[in-house]
Amino acid sequence: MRSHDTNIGAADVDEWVLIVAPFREDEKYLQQFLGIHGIAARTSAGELPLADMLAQQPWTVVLTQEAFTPANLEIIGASLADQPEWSDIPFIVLLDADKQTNTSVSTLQSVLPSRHLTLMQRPIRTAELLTGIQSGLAARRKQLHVRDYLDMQQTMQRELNHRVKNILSNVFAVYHLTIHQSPSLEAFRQTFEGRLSALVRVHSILAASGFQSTQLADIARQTLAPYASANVPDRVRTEGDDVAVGPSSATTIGLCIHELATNAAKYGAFSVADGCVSLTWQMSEAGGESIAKLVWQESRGPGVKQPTRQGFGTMFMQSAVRGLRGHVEFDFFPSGLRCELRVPVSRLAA
Amino acid sequence: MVILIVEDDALNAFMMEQCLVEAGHSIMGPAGTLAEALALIEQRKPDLALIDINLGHSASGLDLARDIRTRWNVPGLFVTGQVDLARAHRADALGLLPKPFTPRTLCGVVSYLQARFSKMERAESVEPPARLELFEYATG
Repeated sequence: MRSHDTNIGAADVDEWVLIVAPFREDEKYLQQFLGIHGIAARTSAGELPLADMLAQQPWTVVLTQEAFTPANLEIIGASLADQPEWSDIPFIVLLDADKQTNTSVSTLQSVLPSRHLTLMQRPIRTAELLTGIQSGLAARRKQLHVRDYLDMQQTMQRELNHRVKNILSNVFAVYHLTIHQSPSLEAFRQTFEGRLSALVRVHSILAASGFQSTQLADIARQTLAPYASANVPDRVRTEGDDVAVGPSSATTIGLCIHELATNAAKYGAFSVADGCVSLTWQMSEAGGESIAKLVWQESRGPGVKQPTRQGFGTMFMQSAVRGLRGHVEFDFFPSGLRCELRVPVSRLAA
Repeated sequence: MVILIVEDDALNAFMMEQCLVEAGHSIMGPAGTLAEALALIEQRKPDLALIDINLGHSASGLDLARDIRTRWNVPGLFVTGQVDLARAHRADALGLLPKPFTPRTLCGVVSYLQARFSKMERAESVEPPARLELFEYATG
């Protein structure tokens, strides 16, 4: 609301009453009366045209019978017709006890059908007028709460729609990438289920954090949880500094760990009963920025050797880590695979 | 064609990369942020940029599409689920491919755009792929 020293009667400039009382000094007296009770009030006389005042969304309008000119009623009717669904500006109408009253009320009701309308007959007691206006302001406050709630609901619907589309895109991508490399329907089923399960685990972690950032340790532990063994205490070891991971990077890192784990289950440490994997990470400085270095180390597994061609997991990790402005290296030592990922901490947090 | 992929979702980016490489295209990226995309373009100008709108670091692909068009004359195609936002910025991109989409759809769209870029006679008479929404910048 615009600030007019002569028109503001209260500290709270958000709540205000529009007074339309053209007879003599009625507007001035009403404004002073409301000011005494801490209610901001503005008048249409000498400020802006009535249509412009109504466009500024008063919280309540006080209207006297003398304001019922055809021109004013047309302006009021037109401005209220444009109100959004949640809005119903309260009108308090001060009437005279004369023979014109019934006609005036009928005219007003035709302009304000089914609207928040309160009729008061003059002479009016100040307590009645004050409580009537306070009641109007309270009703308007509730309407604005409804508006805020509807806005929030719309925002949440948009966000939900966006997330669902992202999830569906991910499922599409997993499906097409997996079916492309599967030699049989059974192989497809196993790999597809595994990758979807990895997505579900990361999603659960993110949901628990309210889709804010989560800890790298949580992603590592949860993604590798299916591979832990009660018989081999060091089957899976995860350890490292506190590293915050944002929602998008969490999915990337979770899927990279999943690909390493499924590769280990097929060809590496998880393919034998005694094999074990350690996933550790630490922070370091390089080129003026913090880098998270993750090391995947397999041991006590079957001897591994450099594959003759790159598989899905390797290509995915290279693409995914490149997308995080990082690097990935694979070393196929006889004792087991070692994979090192280096990713800027700032990108992980995104 | 040389195609820049600007997508902060690793799976989507990888799927796009795989199918476009198989179709014979050369890929730049994927870039997950505005700054990374701009850094790549500084090194080499792509023929086409596939741009997701919701990028990391609160950046927007909308800004990127406008930037690369005005500074480098690189055409961008929005690949996004935020179709309303994309349409509201129709002056900055060739068009829109709504997510989710299949690799075949993406390759069909890129192939169609390639034909248009090379002004092949065939392209004038070929209907755009069903899911591709072309903006005025592309059709004008």
